[in-house]
Amino acid sequence: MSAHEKLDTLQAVELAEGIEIRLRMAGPMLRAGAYSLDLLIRSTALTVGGVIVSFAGIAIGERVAGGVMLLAWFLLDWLYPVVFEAGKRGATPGKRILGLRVVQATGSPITFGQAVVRNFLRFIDGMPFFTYGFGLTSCLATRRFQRLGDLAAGTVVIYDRVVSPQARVPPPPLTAVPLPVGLTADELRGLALFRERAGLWSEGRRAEIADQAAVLSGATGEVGVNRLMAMAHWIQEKRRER
Amino acid sequence: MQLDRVTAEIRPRSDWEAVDLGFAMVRRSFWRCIAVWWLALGVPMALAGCLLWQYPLVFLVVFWWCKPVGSRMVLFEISRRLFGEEPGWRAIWREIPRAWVRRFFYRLLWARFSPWLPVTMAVEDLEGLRGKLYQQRCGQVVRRGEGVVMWLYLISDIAAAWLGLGILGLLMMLIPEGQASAWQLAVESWDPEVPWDLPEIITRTVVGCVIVGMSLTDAFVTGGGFGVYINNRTWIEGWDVELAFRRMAQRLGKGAVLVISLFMVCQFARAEEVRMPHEVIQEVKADEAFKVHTVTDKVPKNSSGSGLPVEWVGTLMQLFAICAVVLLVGGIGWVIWKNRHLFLMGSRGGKEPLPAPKARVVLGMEVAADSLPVDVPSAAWALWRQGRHQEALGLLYRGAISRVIESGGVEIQESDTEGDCLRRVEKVGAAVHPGYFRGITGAWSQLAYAGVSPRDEQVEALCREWPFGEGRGG
Repeated sequence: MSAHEKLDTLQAVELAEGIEIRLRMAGPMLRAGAYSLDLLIRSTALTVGGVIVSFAGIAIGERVAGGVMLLAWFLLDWLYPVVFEAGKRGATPGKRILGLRVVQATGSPITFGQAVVRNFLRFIDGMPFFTYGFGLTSCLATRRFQRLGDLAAGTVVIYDRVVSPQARVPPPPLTAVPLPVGLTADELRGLALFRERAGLWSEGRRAEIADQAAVLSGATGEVGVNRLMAMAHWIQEKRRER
Repeated sequence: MQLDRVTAEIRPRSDWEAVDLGFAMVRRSFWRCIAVWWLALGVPMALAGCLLWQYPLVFLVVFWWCKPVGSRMVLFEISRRLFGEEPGWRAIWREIPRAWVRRFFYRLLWARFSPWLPVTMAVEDLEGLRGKLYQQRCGQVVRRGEGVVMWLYLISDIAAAWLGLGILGLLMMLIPEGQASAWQLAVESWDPEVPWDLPEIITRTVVGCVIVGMSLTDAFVTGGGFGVYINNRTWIEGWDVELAFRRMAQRLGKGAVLVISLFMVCQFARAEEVRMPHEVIQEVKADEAFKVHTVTDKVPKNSSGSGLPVEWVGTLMQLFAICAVVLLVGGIGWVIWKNRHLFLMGSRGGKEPLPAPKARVVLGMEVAADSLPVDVPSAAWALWRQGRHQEALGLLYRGAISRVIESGGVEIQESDTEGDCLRRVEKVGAAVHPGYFRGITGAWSQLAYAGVSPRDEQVEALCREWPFGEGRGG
């Protein structure tokens, strides 16, 4: 099975300069959470506004106040997500709280038009009867977790906040061993990860993993682990020198 | 498990990304997941459905209860698919009975409500751990992404109901106008004032839709839990690093081994020439900074610290428990006392049924003993002499009925007519003087319905012959 067909939550996007970036697609669970948060924020705003307007209604007349309320409801319902998503951060407050962001499928910020298309199609996604059944189905059926509005506008929702892995870095090895052969970027990254994350693994597991790279270290078991660590250390030092 | 045949990109992910990977796994083999879910639950649930045809809600609860069996099959499918196997239908068929019986009491009774079910199931089914090892492993596995799994579990049932309503809505949208006569009728017969009293067809349809929703949600929730499990193992076992090393080994090939090991030998020999590491260590450890100092600090035991007074809490809990027990016992006692007649009746062997309540109103007339004068005939005769014939005869008749009920034990009901009363009295026999009763019934009926007033002598005779005791006057 080739690497191409492998399932992933990241989607690689190649930019014009030949650089590849990877977007971390967000699935339906967290997005539903963001939607609920937005709903909460919107209804709180409407309630507070309603109280204020009803007090103002004494002065401006009840029917005018009712009209203002309806108008506010309409605008808040349709424009709230559009304005926020077309803005600088590309996310409604609910999305921002949960660390999500809307971008184009190419990774660049979305345009106003896309925000409009994406959010006005919410009505279709909300069918049947505002249960969001269509949106959910579409979201789970597409590779990039896109609902119908996303598909139409060519947008995706991604995780914006990178969670730093809280790896326990082991003490640096005493020696630094130069690499015996040239390694590819992927392999160098593997070595660096080995050193960073070794603190999370049991000693037996550490040796098991190191045994896979016995070709490089020329030893197995504890000795192999130490040599790989030393090599990773060497790579890091070389980088620092540069 | 062969890591190099894995069919998804293995990398350490955040918790939610792990769930998304699980969703993607289910999406990849969606139809197979749904098929195995229904294969596992279909037949037993169809049987249960036949038995519980009259109780759709009970059926829904039973279905929900057995849901983990379906989840197990989904897990079976996606876990094998992840590692490059595609289980054939025969393997699936053989797995189904196992999914039903494997740790039945634990999974379907004891741990049915465990919020970590989507993750711990993988430990149970895929690693096959039991007992203490299982507990230990679960503790380890839920450490990362615990909150996410609990969300998944909490949301799953709500989402199932929600999705069920969505499906119902879709069905209603798709039914052509005028075609749904049975449904239409049912909807019309539904009374909004008693919203819980749904017509059966509606309940069954809703239950069916919710079950379909449940199958869809459960597949994805199981996938999400499995994603979290895989992510966890990736973190604590460094799967991605292992894979990277394997790829490297493959690229470098066996030929490189010799070269590299030679290189290594030279390298380390040189390093050891320079300095032996443990000598350096000894030197470093000799430094003053590495000396271990010990300070003993005694804390008085009975001082109340700043933390929670644990003993108080314990005492309080005990007090609560005692209160709860006292309340429970008191409540049970009260209920027994309130219903003591049941027990008393039971002690009499239930042979003597409670006497039916006596009629208080017959033919629209008050017949209870306390509504009548003590001396009925004299009172009636006095009224008759005043010319209030209707009232006089009414009182007499009323009195007669009252007396046959009270002393004769005739069971007259409130709905009885004069004829019925007479028949009942005659049935009981001589003890209640049916002859006299017939006479007074006749006189009363004639006056009341025909408007024919009886002669004075006749009434006087009736008063004089009053056979029911208590004042034979006239």
